[in-house]
Amino acid sequence: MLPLIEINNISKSFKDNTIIYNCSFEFRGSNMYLIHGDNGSGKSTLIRIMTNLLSPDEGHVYYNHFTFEKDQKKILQSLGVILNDDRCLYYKLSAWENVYYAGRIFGVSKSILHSRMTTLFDLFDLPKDKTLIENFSSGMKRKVAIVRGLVHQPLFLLADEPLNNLDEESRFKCIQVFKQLALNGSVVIVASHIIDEGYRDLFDVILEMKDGKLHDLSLQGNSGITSL
Amino acid sequence: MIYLYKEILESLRYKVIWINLFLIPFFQFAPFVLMSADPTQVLIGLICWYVLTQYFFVIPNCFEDERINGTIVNLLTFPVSVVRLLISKGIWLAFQTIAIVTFTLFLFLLFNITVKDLPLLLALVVFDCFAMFCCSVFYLGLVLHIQRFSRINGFIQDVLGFFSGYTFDIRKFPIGLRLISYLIPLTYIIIIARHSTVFTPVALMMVTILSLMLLFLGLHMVNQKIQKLRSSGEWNVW
Repeated sequence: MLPLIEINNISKSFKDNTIIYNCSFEFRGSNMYLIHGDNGSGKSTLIRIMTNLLSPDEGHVYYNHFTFEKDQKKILQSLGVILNDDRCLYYKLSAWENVYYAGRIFGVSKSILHSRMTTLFDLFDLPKDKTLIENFSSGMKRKVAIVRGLVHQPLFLLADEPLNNLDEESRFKCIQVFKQLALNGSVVIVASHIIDEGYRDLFDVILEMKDGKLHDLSLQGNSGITSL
Repeated sequence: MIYLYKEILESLRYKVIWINLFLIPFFQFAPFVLMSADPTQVLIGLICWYVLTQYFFVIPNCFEDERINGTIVNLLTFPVSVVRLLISKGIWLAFQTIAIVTFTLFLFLLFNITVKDLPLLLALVVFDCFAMFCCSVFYLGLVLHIQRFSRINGFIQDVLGFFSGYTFDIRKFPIGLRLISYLIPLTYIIIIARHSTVFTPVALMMVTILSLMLLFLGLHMVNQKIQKLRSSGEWNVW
């Protein structure tokens, strides 16, 4: 059975401002989804609701028919999250220590973790020494956050603006790694307001967040995506 | 264990703070201890109270510290329970506190101020760490629900120290005030530490019962607040 994320009649408002209204969609495994939309369209809000950082006013999110209310730990074990905020890294730890900590929290064994970390660190040219995160550039921090979100090979990967601050080569590597994860059966969801023409075709489904809802652009016959 | 590993790594990177932590207790207590007619009793009371201050500074502020650093989201997106997180902090703090207490006692030894039964006192400090951990989790629950409690943390520590008799015998209190003292777990720990030849099981039982009650109530309040913060979206802007 392929993994599945269902969002069911999700609505969210902040004070009198409705961000998401009655939004429903099914995200299936082995697919890489792009959620595109303007600033303030609700992409990040949706990602936060799906990662349980925010509770919706109405509706539910199901991960393989499980909900956060009842099966929080089971879902979190399979969830990988890459947020648009590099402060989520521990500044007094090195890149290797940050990722190692995350991998062990997710239950990856030491030997497998070491092997995966070596592969990902080499791929993204990240230092394996004791240099603390506080001394990294924003692009390097973003790469560490990406590797940290991937190291446990999550069944569900949710990434909010993962390509910000990355150079061209790193963006391509990032999308390729996400694609490989999707090909291995995971659900990969990337929220981004810009995506380059060169990688757009790597996405299986392109969605637009507009008027509080998700619109499947492949059904509408146009992408409407801003290119770099 | 992995969370404890992270706590240790992070703590050890703040090198200058360690000098501070190891020296402050001696210089803070020395004026009271060295001027007292019974310096050992005062020292014992202050050492027990010092454990309270360490836990009350760290545990009730732990979410605020994570929020300021921006790492609070990790607590919500990683499969770690809040209980495990708090226990890891409590354990690492216990190691730190015992090391600092031992060093402080050594410094007072240079002034010929000794403790009769050092191993027993250190064992009691370990028990004190457990009790103060429970109390500090309760205080964390209060802080999460009523933020003003975080602003009066220092004052609360002094009040608890005063009523537990950290520099004097609580038998000098009028009966009304002494009743307040008996509600504070630290009071019993100081009584046991000062009268170590009379190892009162009743006092230990009172501390354990009070501490566990405060711990469970505190955890309930913390979990309740986490749920409420999540539904209001306050984590997002917190």
